[in-house]
Amino acid sequence: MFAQGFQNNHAAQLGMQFAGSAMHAMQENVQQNVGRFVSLGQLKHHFDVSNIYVLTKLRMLAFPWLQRSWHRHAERDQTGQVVGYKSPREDSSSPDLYIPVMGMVTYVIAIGLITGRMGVFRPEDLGLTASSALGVVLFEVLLVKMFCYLLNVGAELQFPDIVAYSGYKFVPTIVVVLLKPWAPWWLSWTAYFYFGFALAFFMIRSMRHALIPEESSVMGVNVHRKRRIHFLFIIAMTQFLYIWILIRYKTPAPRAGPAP
Amino acid sequence: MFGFGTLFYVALLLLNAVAILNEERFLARIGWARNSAELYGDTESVKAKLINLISAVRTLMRIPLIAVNVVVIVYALVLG
Repeated sequence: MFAQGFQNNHAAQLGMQFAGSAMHAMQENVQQNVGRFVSLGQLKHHFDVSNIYVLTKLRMLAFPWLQRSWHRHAERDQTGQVVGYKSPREDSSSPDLYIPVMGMVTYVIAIGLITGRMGVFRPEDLGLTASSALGVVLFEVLLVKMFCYLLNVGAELQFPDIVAYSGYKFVPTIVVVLLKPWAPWWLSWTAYFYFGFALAFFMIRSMRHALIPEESSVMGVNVHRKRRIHFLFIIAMTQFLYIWILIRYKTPAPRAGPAP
Repeated sequence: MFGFGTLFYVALLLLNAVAILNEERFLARIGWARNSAELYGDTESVKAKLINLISAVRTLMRIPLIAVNVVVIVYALVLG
């Protein structure tokens, strides 16, 4: 009865049309404004993952020495033109943003869990931990961007890729964070150094193709080959520092006053 | 440590440090003035890029930095 009346009512239909077009305009507006900073297509491309990809990537982060091929495959259209890189679903050496985002959330929750087990959990610690985790990523991204500007790295290293590579550090960090409270000290130290090395190796291998071109491929452009190698090494070594910062969670002083 | 607030303060102080470098008294004397890079025609080297960055920060960030500094000072005075 209501639907019948609704369909026959021209004013209502007109209203629906207006609402529809308003929604459409709003969506376009959002897309334009957000797209100015990050293109949504690129973001979707980075979240296009599969279970196999995630497992492969985690294995690559834990045992990067076993991986043979680190080349990213080019995506081609029907005429064989290169139009970019293959999405993570089809290419396990492509960076994604799914693992970094999930890793960061898991890291914050893991810290909360551990402080909770120790009985010193405060809700605002979650915010502080998330802030410092984001701060570490932001710092590294700014550092890499700065180096990229100085060393003439342009299109080879896109912004989402930098964020992705920077965010992979949460995976080893979570392992060390979870080991730290109960494992003997030598085990956590071994894990820290092992995963630090693995992450450094991973960063070098996966960013090498973007940063350091083959001898013959680039002509005329000043590529600072030697400086880029140094820069890559610096990035890899700072991973130890970042993990070190991230695994130090706060254990606040016991509250003043008698315990309840 | 490494929270957003700290990072923001560090970035603000570094930007201030770059913005107060004096063109005639300091930068020209060590050969880092804006026109010294263009003299040799290289825009690709690291030094030329740094000079370009410094002069860009000095021209672009001067007015916004005043506003941001005032806000931060008032905030630190009232709540810090």
